[in-house]
Amino acid sequence: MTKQRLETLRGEMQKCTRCSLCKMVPMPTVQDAKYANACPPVMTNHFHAYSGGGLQVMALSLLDGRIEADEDLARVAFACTTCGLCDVSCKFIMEAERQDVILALREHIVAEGYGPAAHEAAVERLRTTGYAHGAPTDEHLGWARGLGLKSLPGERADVLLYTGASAYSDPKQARTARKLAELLLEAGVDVGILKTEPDTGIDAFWTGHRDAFEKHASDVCDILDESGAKKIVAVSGSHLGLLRGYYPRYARAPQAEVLHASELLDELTRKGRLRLPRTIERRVTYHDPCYLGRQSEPPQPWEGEEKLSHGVLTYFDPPKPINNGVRGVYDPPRRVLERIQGLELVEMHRIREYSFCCGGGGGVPDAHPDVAQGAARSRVEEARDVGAETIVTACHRCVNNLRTGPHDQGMPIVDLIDLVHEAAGLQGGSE
Amino acid sequence: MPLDDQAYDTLSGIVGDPWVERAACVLDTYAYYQNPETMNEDGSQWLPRPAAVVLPESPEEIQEIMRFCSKSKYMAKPISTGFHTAAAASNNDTIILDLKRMDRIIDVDEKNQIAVIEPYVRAIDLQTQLLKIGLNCHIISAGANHSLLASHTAAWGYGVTGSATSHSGRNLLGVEWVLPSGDIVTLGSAGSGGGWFSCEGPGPSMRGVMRGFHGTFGGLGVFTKCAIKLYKYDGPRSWEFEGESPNYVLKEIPKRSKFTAIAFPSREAEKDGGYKMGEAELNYGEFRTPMFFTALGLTNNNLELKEALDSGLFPKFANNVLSCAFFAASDGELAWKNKALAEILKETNAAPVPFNLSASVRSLKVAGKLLAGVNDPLAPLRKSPWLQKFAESSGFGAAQRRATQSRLFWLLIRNAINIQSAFRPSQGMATMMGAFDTWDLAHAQAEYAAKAKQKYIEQGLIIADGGDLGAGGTFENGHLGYLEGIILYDPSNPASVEAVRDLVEGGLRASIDHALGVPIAGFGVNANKELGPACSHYDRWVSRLKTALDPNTASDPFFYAEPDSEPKPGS
Amino acid sequence: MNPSRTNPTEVIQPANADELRTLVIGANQDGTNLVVTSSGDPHRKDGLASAEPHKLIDLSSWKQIDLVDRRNRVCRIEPGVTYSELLAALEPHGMTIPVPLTPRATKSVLAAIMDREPSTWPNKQWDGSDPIGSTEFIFGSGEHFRTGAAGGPGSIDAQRKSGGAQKFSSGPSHTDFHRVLQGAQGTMGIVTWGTVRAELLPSLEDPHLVGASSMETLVPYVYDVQRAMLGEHSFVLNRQAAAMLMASGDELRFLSVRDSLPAFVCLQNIAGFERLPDERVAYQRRDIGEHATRHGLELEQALGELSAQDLLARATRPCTTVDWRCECEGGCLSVFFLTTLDRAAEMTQLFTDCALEHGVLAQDIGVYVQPIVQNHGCHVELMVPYDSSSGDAAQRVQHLEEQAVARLLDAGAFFSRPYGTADRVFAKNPANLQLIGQVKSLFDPNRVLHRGKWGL
Repeated sequence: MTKQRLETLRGEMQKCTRCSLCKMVPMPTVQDAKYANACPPVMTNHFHAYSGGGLQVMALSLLDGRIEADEDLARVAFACTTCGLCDVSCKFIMEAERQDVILALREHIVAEGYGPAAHEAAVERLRTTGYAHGAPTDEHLGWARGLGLKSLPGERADVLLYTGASAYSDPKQARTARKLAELLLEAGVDVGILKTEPDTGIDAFWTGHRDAFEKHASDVCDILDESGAKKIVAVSGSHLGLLRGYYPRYARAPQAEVLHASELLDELTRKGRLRLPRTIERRVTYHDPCYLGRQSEPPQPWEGEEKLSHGVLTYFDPPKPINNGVRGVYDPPRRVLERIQGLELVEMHRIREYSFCCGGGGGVPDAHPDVAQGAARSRVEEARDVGAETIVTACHRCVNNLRTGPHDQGMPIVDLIDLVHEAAGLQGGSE
Repeated sequence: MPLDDQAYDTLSGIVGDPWVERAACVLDTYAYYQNPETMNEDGSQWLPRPAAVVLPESPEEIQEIMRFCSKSKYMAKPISTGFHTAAAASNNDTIILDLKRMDRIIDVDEKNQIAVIEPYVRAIDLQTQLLKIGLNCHIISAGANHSLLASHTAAWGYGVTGSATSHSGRNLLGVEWVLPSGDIVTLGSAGSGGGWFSCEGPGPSMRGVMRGFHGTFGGLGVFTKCAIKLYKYDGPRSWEFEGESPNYVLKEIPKRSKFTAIAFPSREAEKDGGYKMGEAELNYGEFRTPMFFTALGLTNNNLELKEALDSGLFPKFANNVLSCAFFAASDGELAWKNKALAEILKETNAAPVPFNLSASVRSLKVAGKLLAGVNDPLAPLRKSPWLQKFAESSGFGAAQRRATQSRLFWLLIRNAINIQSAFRPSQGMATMMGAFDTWDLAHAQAEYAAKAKQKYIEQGLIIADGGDLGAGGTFENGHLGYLEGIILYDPSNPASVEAVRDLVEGGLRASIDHALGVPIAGFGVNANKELGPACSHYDRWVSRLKTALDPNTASDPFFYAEPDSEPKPGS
Repeated sequence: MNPSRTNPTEVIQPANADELRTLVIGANQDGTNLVVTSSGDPHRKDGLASAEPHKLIDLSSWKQIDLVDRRNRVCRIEPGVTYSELLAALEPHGMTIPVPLTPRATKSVLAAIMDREPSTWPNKQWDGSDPIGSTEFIFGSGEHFRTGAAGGPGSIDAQRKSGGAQKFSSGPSHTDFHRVLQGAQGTMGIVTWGTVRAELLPSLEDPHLVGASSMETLVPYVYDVQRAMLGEHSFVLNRQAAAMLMASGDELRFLSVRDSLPAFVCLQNIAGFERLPDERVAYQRRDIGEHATRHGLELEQALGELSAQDLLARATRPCTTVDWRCECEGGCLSVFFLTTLDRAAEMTQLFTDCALEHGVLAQDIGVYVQPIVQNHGCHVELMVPYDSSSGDAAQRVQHLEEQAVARLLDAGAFFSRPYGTADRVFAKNPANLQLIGQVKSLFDPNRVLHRGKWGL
């Protein structure tokens, strides 16, 4: 089954010309050569195999019967953070789907029993408890205690604040979620949370456990739909990417409109419903999370065929919409930051659809911590090089990975929500 | 066969465990390069799987590896950024030396305009640093993602700024070379401790055996460091852009610059124009942009391209287009260049292509219909300098004009959208002809290629591009000229692949029969056999050199030369 | 000045390439040592000196100029063609070539180019091997070869019919053998013809002089102008060298010129060609002038008794059969090497200090600094004229040369064209010498070409 899926992508693999643009940001965007590189595993391991192009070639080799799934293939394929930048870079010049191949290859490796052991425990927990990081205890469930949030689906609310269960396993994220709740309440938003919210299943998704993820995602959609909320607000960028970008492909899209916190905060501050009176004198840069950015593009259904014209010129009929990363969430967090008095936003070199991965995706911090830390180091250096005093981001995975290890060297790394909470002058954030 | 354990231990001992790979999956990523099916008789996409891939970090490590290869059955084959099939191993006993870890820009001597680099310094890496200080390097049209050391020392290629930055093979100012024996030799002034400013001498220049028009493609040792010539750059030292993939647009078109595409009314006029612009020392970047490439460059996807071709517009004005960029360091220089260009346009009855119109599917359809009965849509522009000025400076279509000029900036200056874009139409690109000499000879080659392609275009086996995909430009202010004949084909269609093979081989034969120069693909063991007897028997000499410098075949010979089987000279 | 030199046992003037080839093949059979010359006497640098018995092959009578191609700016010449002859042949076609500083009348163009002699027109030299195009030559083995575009495929006529002009120097294919022959001083092969890259003849010239009290003052200006590729012919002379060049052996003239000049003078030619010449000269004069001003210098049409026009004319035209360096005193020690422009002053000082130890005053040393390869390096030539009739003087400068070369080598001077004692440069790079030896054993396996030179 997984091999058949790969087979459907053979044409994509064959579109690789081995040009290595997948290792870089689109070249017109290069302003500082130090930050031209795009691929965390290649930056650490260097062999071509680790690149987006290398993964295409290995998938093709597998289809051609030259190699089988084995530990070596798994070692290389799971060093990828699934950040999708190679997909964006390739699409700058080629109508090809790199990310689809990478995900399908990893799914095949897992189906053949070679998924990295480092991922197994989390996926097994997800299968058995519904939570990759373990079922929540009462203590975990109490992260919003005292805020007076509605409890869905028993109660009804326009907006469902959804942490993807990250608030259960990550105390820092629990505080951030609490701050978001306070902000929404301050703005008069009719907001609630699920009494027990499900895990998004991201750990199964990006480690190639397709079956587990499909089933889980379908269950999650049921729960979210039952909440009755009109809007679901994801606290973390990684969850927005999953809900908006991948649930529709692997299961289905939730019925409610899915937003990221930054999008709602943008709307609330623009309309004046949420005021940010407090001045924060700080020079910050914004790190675009991969799954809030390019990976959050909803799939664009297309039915048609690839035809030939003028001899062997290939084209899609009807026109095939291409997800090249540009419809991700890029402007809302920036607009919010611009509304904070005293704050100066300086941009890094690798931003928006060509943002550099922090290294925290794809299960890489578990399977290849050197890759994860190498990426984080590069990102923090980049922030420092553009003169930033703080990195602001909008994904708990990014915050965690950028903070992990000695490379941050004191560079504050904060969630956008934390900063907005501070600018709003609200007290709280914790019980 | 994968590397045996003993060899693995030896290599690991040299470079360290993490940097030796013999896993089949990793090796296969070094058995697949740009359109390999044209290389393989059976049309397979796979080239030989190497025995191992090793990532050395220093010349000393490479020295040890070469010594190991000299004493074992294995051969070494260095690659930097890879891409072309010439980076591949020729058999399963080849060890690929992937030089990616050697990526330092060792020195940029701003005053003397020299950069000293390691193998994995990509053009984009160095150029980004250089433009900020008003310097530039020659970048081959494979794009700025390629290794500068590779194109300067071991490979080849032409670049679109050749009119102002010469040619990679001619821009070498020094080389550090690990010979197949493992000995390290540094050519030129650096070898004598004088600094990296001259590659010639002392006495006879060994640069003449380390590369020719074609490099040795890893067949004669490993180049671990080189010094390259840098050139002035009067363009913007920094710039801002806006927009999103794939349309990144400069916020402002640089001051004292010109980005234009000149449409000549005939091939003769185009040739004359090239010579005239060269003599005037006008252009900084220059790319002959055949009709199909003009359409390709103005569209974002293949459907748009199809519509552009279907509109019938492009053959009416774009058969002889030179895309050009120039800069000026002063207002006086700019005024002179603009005046000189205007004179040349007048003398050749040429006109700049107006960039004011969108190349959207809709507008192309409308324009195609509106101009259906017009044979020469640029006629008014040819006749009226005023109209030319209007098209270049009025508010009408200014945003579209800026977008197109930006594309020329990415193409001609940054080399950021070059050859890769050529893969988009059919995912397969091959090339024929492509010998350096005069601009007239360049056109003779392009004309041959265009004619040869017609048969296969009629059979629907390659893209119907009108035949003429003669791509290149003039070099060194018009002193030299270069055009290669691009073929866009379908790599998944065996008949299409066969057509390419026929064309490339036919091109090689035609080069011999019609004295059209040594083609760009005319290198390596097989080509030497065919070309050598027609070219001063150079094949014998490279074989002799191979025998003398690599007696134990430590370097993979395939893309250079087999050891000598001829009688020794003078015997 | 090589005491161990022997005179040729025979001087042979082959009529054509076939005869020449027969000679080389014969030498391979009988072991004859062949030394080749294309220029007429005298050979000041003593490049023909051979310690071993040899026959001298004289190609100075090979005078054919059989291609002058205006469209492609190239010409094809035989080895005996001199600068005067070639310039005269090119002028009617509106072309010229870069010329070394005042070559002597008998100087062979091909010999100079194959020896990588610097020209006075630095921004026309893109590559260290320029302005050579293609060549035809005979290896020491007796085999025949054509380099560059001429290498094939096809005959020269067929290539021309296709639009080619044998102008590209690289090739065929993996080879660049013209580079191996260049600088080889006849040890690798014998060139029978070559194509030479020509330039448009300026239709308007506006030469200037830029004077300065020190080389260090001039250097930043030269860097700026050369980097911008502004102007045309350009070089730097100190007052001694300028006077030597302009005096034509007239001692009074020498003194008056020398004493009228600042310590260093840069010739800066500005030119217009066929297209809009006046306007080109005007904008370039303005732009170059601004560079000069920024460095506290001025463009002058004359300095003292030296006019820019005269210097340009003298520098870019051949002189008599006597080398201009030797016109004043009969002899001239000339130590020349390559370095980068920013080190030229330091190297000059080093030589000057050394010369003082040998009783030579700084004021008597001529200095010629010639940017090469678009100023990616420069030729530095340090000259000490001496009375050639005096054995003492000759000995003194010989000692000076030996010591100065050693010190300059240690300081990083690159003797890319090793003559005389400068051949010790090879010891600085034994790996390169070994490689040269390996190539020599292929190109000239029986060592018939200039046997023993550099130990080859």
